[in-house]
Amino acid sequence: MNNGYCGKILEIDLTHQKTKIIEISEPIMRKYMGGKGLIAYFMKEDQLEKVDPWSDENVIYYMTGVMTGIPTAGTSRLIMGTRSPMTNGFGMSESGGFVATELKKAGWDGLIVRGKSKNPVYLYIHNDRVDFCDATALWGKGTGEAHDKILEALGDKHIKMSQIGPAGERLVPYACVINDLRHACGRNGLGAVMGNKHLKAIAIRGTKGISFDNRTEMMALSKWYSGQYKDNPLSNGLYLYGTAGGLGNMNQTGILPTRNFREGYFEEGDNLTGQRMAETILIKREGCFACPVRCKRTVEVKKEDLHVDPKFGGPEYETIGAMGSVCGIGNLEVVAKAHERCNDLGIDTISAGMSIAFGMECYEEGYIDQETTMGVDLRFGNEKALLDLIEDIVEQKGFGKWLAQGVRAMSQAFGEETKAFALHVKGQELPMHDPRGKTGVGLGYAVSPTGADHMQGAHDTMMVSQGPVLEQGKLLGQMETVDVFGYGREKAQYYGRMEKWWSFLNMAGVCFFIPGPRGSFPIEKFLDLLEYATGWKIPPEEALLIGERGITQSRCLNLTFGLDETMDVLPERLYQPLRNGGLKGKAIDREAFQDMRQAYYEYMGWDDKGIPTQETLRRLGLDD
Amino acid sequence: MVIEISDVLLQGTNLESPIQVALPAPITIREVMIELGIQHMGYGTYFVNGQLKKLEDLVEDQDTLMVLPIFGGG
Repeated sequence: MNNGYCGKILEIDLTHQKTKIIEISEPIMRKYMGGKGLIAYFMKEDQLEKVDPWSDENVIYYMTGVMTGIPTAGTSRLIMGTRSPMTNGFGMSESGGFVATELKKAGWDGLIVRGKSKNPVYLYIHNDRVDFCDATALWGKGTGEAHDKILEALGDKHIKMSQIGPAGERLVPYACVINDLRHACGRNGLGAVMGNKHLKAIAIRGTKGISFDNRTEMMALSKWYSGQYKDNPLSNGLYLYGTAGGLGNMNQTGILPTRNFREGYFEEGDNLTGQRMAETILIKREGCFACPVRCKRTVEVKKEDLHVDPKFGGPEYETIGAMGSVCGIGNLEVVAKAHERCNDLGIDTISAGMSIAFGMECYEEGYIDQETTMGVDLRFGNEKALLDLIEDIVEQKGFGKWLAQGVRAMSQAFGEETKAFALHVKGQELPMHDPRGKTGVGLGYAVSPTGADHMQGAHDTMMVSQGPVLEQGKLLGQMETVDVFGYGREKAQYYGRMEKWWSFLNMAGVCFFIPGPRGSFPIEKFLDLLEYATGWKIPPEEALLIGERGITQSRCLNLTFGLDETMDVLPERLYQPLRNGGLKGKAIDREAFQDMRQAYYEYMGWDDKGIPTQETLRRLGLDD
Repeated sequence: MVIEISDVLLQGTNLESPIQVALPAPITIREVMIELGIQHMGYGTYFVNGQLKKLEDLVEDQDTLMVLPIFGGG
């Protein structure tokens, strides 16, 4: 019997409406864990270097990890993969919620979806049974309406569901996948690939349960954490104020992305904080499967001219930044409305907000005029334009036609000079963290296999002083405090070390807000939990090796996709000084950054072109 | 000096922000936190007169200290 995992992947052929079971052996699970590891393992087997992201042959990988479904905090993660239509490279996006656990309870470690359905379809997976259901009547509907109709048709309110909205159907490159209306695999265009396959939704019901090696000890540890998490500011802060609890800190520091990253301080920032949300529109704190921390928000606005439906949850920090400060908007109710519309339509809030902000700067600087914007006065702070353009992006009408293509494509069309403020890496728009105040995050953006991505590694701000966070970092080999503005070998190694741990958590199916150093569940105890689930004793050093394997796998894939070291670069804006706030005048040092990137390659066992050496591949068991 | 501190970091104390204290001589931020009985100082980010500082940095009576929870991704 397998403990902690099922040993089975369900392969689904949409073209012929057939399924197949792929058995996964224990050595493979122990080596790759799930998540990014299994995605890359199968992506290599499938030879996606020969496959265009927009072709029928592209594949969707829908994975759990070996810790997914343990009834404790942080074990809810769904990790989706594909060849990304945004970057043309290794595509991946993860989400919390309930769908991953439900899939595991149905007896599957993951899904591999191939081919293309002739007509719109949704999948209903109920334990071993798979139904291909007609979704013609749902095509064009928002996720809210489609969700209710699917639940009604299947007659089971316990079903969990991943969906696309009209944005995915209409192939907006940054269309996302919405899970149970309020969680998102937001990045890398997973929703567009689903839309291209005419796959509207994946509805899942699992009643088999999951087998664990030592349930008694596992439950005791889970109970211990539930009793103590509120004593720790890291998790209590998330409970009280959600992921936006740090927004005030970032504004004070001068690294709150404001007006397309021109600035780092937003004068209306106090209106956007998690604290302000708690005082105003918050109606409920919610969490993912079995997680007591409950960092998710549910908000509601009931005004004559603005109504925000609580069924879509509420905006997280990334959305508040992208729809708020980055667009110069300081109205939390408008941001909440933008969040609701993006979840219903199925577009990534980060890429949508950043695309609109880029359009705003192009307009204010005179690179485009109202002839291009189709009459929209596209200045920073225009709340009506923000809400209207979200709809137009999905319908691809008016200026929305341009915005739907994303920042890279727009900057190519609007003139060479606009590249100075086109904020993307490998074609994916930047998330809401400014590397000018944390250089390691910049390194992460540059080398991430998925383009600019906030989910790949730790932030420099966590270990600036001696204390409990650094003590957890020491278990991962980080012995010294971190200079947020530093470069060089030490900084490269800090980022690399933490990236390995973050990568391991992704592969195991774990949220990085729960175990140390970012969370309050001590690393040693969290690895005990893994042992109680699987029977595998994995010390931190082995966890880091597993995480490194995942990073190197995705690096190797990107090299076969044609994404080499010339694409490990930052946008020009980050080499320009911040125009206001606590870090006014601060910019990335180009030469020092380049040296740090080379030091990172060396630390990771890659050559000076960023290619993993044969010795590294051998050490990681990837030389086959 | 005036100390503005997030309620997340005031757990286990009876303090309410803002806090007014008198400093006869420059001392480190760490010493100020110990004096106030802040158990969770290791989870804070420190700004003196709006500038990011470390626990080991000195503050003076005329300074304003702002303490916000550490932030690391999200």
